Amino acid sequence: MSAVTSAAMSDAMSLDVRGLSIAARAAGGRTVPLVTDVSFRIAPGEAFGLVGESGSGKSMTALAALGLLRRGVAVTAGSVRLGGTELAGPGRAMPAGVRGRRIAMVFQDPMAGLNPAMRVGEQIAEVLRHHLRMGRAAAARRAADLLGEVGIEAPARRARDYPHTFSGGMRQRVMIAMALACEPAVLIADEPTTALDVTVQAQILDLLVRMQDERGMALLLVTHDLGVVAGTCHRLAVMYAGRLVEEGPVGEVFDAPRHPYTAALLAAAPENAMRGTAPKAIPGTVPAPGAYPPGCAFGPRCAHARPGPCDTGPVAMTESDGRRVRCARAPELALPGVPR
Amino acid sequence: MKTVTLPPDTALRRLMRRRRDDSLWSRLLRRRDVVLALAVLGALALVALLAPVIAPHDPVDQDLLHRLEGPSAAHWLGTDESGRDVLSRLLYGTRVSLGASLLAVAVAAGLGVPLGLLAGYLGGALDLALSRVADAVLSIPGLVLAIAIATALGPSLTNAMLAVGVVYAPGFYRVVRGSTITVRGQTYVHAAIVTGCSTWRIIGRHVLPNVGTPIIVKVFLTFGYAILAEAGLSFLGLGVQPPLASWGSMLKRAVRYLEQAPALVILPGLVILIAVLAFNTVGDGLRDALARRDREPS
Repeated sequence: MSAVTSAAMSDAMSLDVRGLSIAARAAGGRTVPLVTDVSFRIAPGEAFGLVGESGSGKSMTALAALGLLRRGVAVTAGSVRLGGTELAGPGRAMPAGVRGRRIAMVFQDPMAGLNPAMRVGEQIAEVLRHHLRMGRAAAARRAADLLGEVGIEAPARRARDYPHTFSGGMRQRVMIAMALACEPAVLIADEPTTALDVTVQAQILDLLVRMQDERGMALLLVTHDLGVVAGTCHRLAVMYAGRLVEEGPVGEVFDAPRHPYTAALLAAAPENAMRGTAPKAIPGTVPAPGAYPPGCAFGPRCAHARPGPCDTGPVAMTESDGRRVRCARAPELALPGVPR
Repeated sequence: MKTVTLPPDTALRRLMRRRRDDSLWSRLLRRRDVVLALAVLGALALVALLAPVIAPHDPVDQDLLHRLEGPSAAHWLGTDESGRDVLSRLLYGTRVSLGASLLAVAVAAGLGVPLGLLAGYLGGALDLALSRVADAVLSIPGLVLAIAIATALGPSLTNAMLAVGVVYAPGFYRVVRGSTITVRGQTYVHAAIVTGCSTWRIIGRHVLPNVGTPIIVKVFLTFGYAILAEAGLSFLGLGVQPPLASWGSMLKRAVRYLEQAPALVILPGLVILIAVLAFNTVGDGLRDALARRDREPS
């Protein structure tokens, strides 16, 4: 009975993306699919990496979960659920009181992420006052505490400063404090370190992982950097041309990727290149949405594509021992991984 | 520990000085014309507030034995065609002219700023509709509309300046709408949405403070135009009614005595010139100071 309860509990708190499809309205009434049939689930306490090149649909997926899609872009099928609450679905508006309270986001660009005309403490306190109905003084105190937790020195004093007095890394810490203010069950981080100096990147990632671990949050980390995923995430999913192509535990995927695209991405990372040799680039470019090639979308760039099995598709994802892959030739390929 | 003394003119020292002086105010006050214009505006505001205290005479007191006189100890700037003290009338006229201009600017900003925020932030059909209305109002010559409204509602300064305010509202609307569209795309607005802020709260707390500076510039520039509009309407007899004085109405009455007492025309004309110049100088100075903030300090 207790097992059932705890399973139900983790259901109640996990982020469940099921069959999500997103399309943009284009000129002439056409719709261009941007994301097609994406499914994954993130349990509480789990860090999940969503990886892909620019235009693969990874950010779009994250934005849909928060109801932040631009005008003219909409969810056409599937759903995003947080426990029993549907956050996104066709024709669905974001329910009130969820954003900021149960699901929060850290953005890519910390330099533009804070209101320049508002003291940072006030910006954090605003969230607390709105969602938790805290009083002015209590919210201000809690805001300072949060700043301290994310590693800002002299938090009570710094809370009264304006954003322009903070460096990029410090601002990202403030953004994290703001996102964590209401103890959300899910934190979405969209390229949280891309705009930062390399030395600061590691600190911010450490902070994110520590906060996620301490609070048992589900973390969705959207990134194009496999190195970031390697150091922070439990599981990852790789997206290509709007679809998931591979999903599984980080260690296993890195050791033995099953999709040629994943293997190519791993081989293309400079830190995985053989010393003295250039990293192996993937030939060609990502196809633009609406102009996907027939058959396997990765086919034209794939070193393992063969006439026949790769001409029809996109094939369905197959699942075995906790891993999923979308490749017609997956069973016969033995792709090289990288040591972690 | 040895103290390091910098040579007098190193790049570092210049950089430090520049950093310290980089605030908007200090950049504004570095310009002498702007400082002078601000002083003029301060003096005008004081005069408007303190007119009853500092005016040597009652501005409507007639003294028909001393008409059209030149400067004297009793009347520093002479008297007008009814023997009223010109200095006192100018001082009281400051109150009327600035008050009327303030009304017009308040109406223009009161209409233009909230509508600009809504149109810029919400976009869509509302934006389209409001922008068309703004274009329509802009296509009507301002003074002509003001004259029409003032004629329809009866000549009163309040009616005339309400009309002027409506005519100037699209100027505010456009500035605010444009800035709002820029701010709306900023990550901090997305962050506010994600933290669950209501639309009204986002507009009030996150957008408005960040479009504030262009509004301030616009207020000063519009104030200058409003003074001219008031003078023009009063000159045509559609503004303040006798015996009250405004700068424009003083001009109107004085024109008839242009040959006998040219000072009666020159004095209010000069005051109008100085006031408009001061408002425009401050407005331009603010705009330059704000524009330079986005670039490398030079």
